[in-house]
Amino acid sequence: MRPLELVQRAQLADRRIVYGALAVVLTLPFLVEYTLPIYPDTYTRMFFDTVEEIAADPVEREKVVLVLSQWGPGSDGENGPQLQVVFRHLLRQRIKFILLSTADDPVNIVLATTRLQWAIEDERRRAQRVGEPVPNWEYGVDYLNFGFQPCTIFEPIAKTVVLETRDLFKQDYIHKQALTDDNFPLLRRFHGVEDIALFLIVSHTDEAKAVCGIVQRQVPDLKVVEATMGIVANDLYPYVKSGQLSGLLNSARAATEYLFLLDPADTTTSPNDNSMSLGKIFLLAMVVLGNIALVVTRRAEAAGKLTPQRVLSTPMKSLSNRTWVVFVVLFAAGYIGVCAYELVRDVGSGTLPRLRVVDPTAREDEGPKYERIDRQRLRKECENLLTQEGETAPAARAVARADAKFARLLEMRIGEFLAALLTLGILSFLLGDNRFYRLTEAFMIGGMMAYVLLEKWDKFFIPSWFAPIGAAAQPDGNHTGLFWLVLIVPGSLWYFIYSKKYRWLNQLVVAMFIGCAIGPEFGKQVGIIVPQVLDSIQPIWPFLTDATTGQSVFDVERFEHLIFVVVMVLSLLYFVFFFRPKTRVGRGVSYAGRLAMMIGFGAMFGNTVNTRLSWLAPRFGYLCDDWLGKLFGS
Amino acid sequence: MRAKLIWLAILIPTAYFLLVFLGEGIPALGKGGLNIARTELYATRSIQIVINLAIGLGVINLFAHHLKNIARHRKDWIYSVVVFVSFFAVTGALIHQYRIDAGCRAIETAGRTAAQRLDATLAQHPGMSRAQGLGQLTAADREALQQAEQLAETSRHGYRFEPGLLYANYIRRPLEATVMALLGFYITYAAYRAFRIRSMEATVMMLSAAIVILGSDSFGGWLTGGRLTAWADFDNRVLNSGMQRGLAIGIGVAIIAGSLRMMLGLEKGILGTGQGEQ
Repeated sequence: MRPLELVQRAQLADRRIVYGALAVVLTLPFLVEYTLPIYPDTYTRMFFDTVEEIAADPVEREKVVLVLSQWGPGSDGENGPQLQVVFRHLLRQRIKFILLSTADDPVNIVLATTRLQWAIEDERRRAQRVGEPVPNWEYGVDYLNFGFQPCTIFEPIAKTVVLETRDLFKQDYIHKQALTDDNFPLLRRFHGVEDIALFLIVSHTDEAKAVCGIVQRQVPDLKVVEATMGIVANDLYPYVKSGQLSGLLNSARAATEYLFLLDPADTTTSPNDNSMSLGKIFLLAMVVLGNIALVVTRRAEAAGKLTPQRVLSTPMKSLSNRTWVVFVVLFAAGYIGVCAYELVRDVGSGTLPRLRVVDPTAREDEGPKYERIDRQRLRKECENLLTQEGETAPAARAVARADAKFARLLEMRIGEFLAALLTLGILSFLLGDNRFYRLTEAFMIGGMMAYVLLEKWDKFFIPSWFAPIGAAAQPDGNHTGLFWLVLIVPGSLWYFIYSKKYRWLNQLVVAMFIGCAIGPEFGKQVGIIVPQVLDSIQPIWPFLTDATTGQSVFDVERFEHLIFVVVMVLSLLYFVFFFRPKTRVGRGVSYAGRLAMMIGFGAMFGNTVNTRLSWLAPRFGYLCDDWLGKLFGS
Repeated sequence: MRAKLIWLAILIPTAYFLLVFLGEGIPALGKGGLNIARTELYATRSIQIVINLAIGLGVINLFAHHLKNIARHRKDWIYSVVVFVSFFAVTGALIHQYRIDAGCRAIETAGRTAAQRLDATLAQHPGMSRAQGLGQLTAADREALQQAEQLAETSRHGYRFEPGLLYANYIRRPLEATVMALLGFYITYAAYRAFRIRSMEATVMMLSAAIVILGSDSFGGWLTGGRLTAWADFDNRVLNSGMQRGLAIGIGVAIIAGSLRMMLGLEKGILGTGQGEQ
C-alpha cells in the first residue's frame, strides 16, 4: 500500500486501534514514574483562601461548615479527590463541619463518608510522616454526618437545606440518633443559617446556582463555594466573577492544585495526574494528525494521485470468533494467574499488601509505595500506638486491634480483586458487544435497583414518613401527624400508568412534578440574573488615575472586565434574531459574536475533555496501581 | 376537564413557590399564626415523599421486563436471571447489614441508658467512685455498659463485616465509574474523526480548546513555565465566562418565559390536549 493510501485509510481507522493506543498511553505513567510542577489557578486559590480565612477568624471558627456532597460513582474520578482534599483542609484546620446530601442515589453519601474516612487516614499518615503527634477527630464533636434526604430536583429543597437543616435532617447517618445538642455536642454551635461559616458544595451538577439564586437573596452574607466537574464548571465561572461564589474547583486537576496549596513542599503530580495529562496530549495529537491526514488526502485527491474517498464512516466490525477465543483465553489466564500469584504470596508468607507506613525520618519517595505486613508486625505497631496513648498494659488490646486491621486488609484485597474483574468486564465493551460485558451489566442493574430501593426505605421512608405517622398514631401522640398519610393519594397516582382507562391520572402527578420544578425557577432566575447584570454594568475604562502621583495607571482587572463585557455583549447580540444585519458593520458584529461564541465553546470542549479523562485515568490507576501495583510493587 | 386538572396540578405548586418567593419576609399572621415561609419544610418533605414513591415504578418495570424475558425464553434471557440473582443477593446483603446495625443501635441505646443511671447515682453520692457506682447498678446495666464500650472500641479500631459498604465501594463504585469512563475513549475517537479545522470559527474553537486542555494541565504548565496555565485561566475566567454569562442571561429569560407559558396552560403538549384526551 502506498503511503498516501495509508494516510487516506488512517482516517477511517478501526476505533479499537485508537482505544488501544489510548489505553497504552494512559498506562505509561503508572509504569514510568515522573513528576511535574503544579500551577494553581485563580479560582482554586480563592476556594482555598476562603477556608483559610474561616480558620483565621475566631468568630467564623465558632460556626460550622456545611458540606453538601451530591456526586455518585460516575463522577468519582473528579468529585472524589475534590471532596477528599477539602475534608483534609477542614480537618487540618480543625474547622467543624457537617456532611449532608440531597442526592437521589443513596450510594452517594456512602462514597462521601468513605472519602471522609480516607481524608482522616491521609491526615494521620501525614502527621506520622512529618513527625507530628497523630491527631484524632471525634465524631459528633469535630464533625457530623447528617446523611441524605433524597430529592430528584434540588431547587424546591434548596432553601430548606440551608435555612432549616436540622429540621429537614432528622437523624445522623452513622448512629441514627436524633439531632439534639445532647447527642452531638457539635450541634450546640449550629442552630440556624447564622451559624454557617461556609456552604461548601461538591457536586456533579450546579447546585450552587440554586443556592445563590434562592438562598443568597434572603441571606446575602452566606458564603458559597463549589467543587464540580469540568463540564459544569463552565456554567459557574460567571458566578465567581460576580462574587456570588467565593471559589470554584474545576475538575480533578483542581483537587491536585488544592493539595499543592495545602502541602506545597510535599505535593507534585501523581501517576494519576500524569495519566490524565498524557491522555489529553494524546487526544490533541489525534486531532492534529486527523487534520494533517485530511489536508494531505484532499491535496492528493485534487492532484489525481488518489481516488476520492466518499465513505465518511465505517461501522465497527465485530471480531471473529477465533479472536474472541484468544481474548477470553488470554484474559482468563491473566486474571487467574494474578489471583494465584496473590494467593501464593499471601498464604506463603502470611502477609498482606498495604500502603507503606513511612518512617518520620525518611522521605516518602525513598521506598516502594506498598509493603507487605503480617500479624506480628501489626501487633507491634498497635502496641506502640497504645503505649503512646498512655495505655499501661497494651498487649491484650494490641492483639485484638491487629487482628481487626488484618481482617480489614484482607477484605480490602478481596474487594480489589472483585472490582478489577468488574472494571475489566465493562472495559471489554470497547472491543464490541460481548457476553462478559452483558453479564457485568446485568449484575450492575439488579444490584443497583435493590440498593436504591432498600436504602431509601431504611434511611428515608422509615424515619421521614413512617416514623411521624407512627408517633401520631400513638394514643398520646400529636394526631396532626396523621396528615402525612394523605401523601399516599398523590404518590399512588404514579401507578395509574399501568391502567389503560385511568392512565391520565399519572399525568397529574407528573404535572405536579413539573410545577415543583418550575415554581422555584422564577425566584432562582431572578436571584441569579440580577447580580449578573449588575456585575456587568461596571466601569470598563482600563486606566485609573493614581491619587498620589496623578499619573494614569493600567488596571488589569478593569482590562479583563472590558474584554469580559465585549465577549458577553457579542454573545448576546448573536442571539438577536428579530432583524437581519444588512450593513457591513452589522455582519461584522454578528461574525464577531460567532467567534466569541466559538472561544467559549472551545473552552467548554477543553473542560469536557478534562472531565472525560479525569474519569478514565483513575480506572487505569485502579488496575495498574491498586490492584496489580500492590501485588508486584510490595 | 382532564386538561384543566393537569393544568391545575402544574399551577398549584408553581403558585405556591411564587407566593413563597413574593411573600419573603412577611411576618406570621398573628401569634403562632400561619407563616408562608414556615410551610416550606412541610412542602419540601411532601414533594420528597411523593417523588420518591415513584421508585416502585422502577422495580415493577424491571421485574416485568426480565420476568417476561425468562418466561418466554427470549434471546439472552440468561442475563435476566443474572439481574434477579444480583437483585436478591444485594437485598440479602443489605438486610443482613440492617440486622447488624439494629443490633448495634440496641447495644448503644442500652449503654446510654445505663450510663445515665450511673451518672445519676454518682450525682446522688458525690464522694462515690466510678467502680462503687457500677456496683450500685443492676447486673443487666453493668453488662449493657460493658457491651457498649466494647462496641465503641470495635467501631473505632475493630473490624465488622459490612456487606452494604462492601457493595458500595467494591462493586457499585468500579462498575459505574468504568461505565462513565468509557466516554473518555469515545471523546478521543470522536475528536480524531470529527474535529476538522475547515473554517475560521473551527480554528478559533480549536485554539481555545487546546489552550484550556494544555493550560489546565501540569504538562502544559511545565512546558511553558506556567504561561499556558495563565492563558487557560484567562480563557476560562474572562472569555469563556463572558460567553457563559451572555448565554445565562438569555437562558434565564427563556426559562422565566417558558415557565410562565406552562403556568398559564399555554403549553398544550404537557396538558395532553393534542391527543384527544380532553
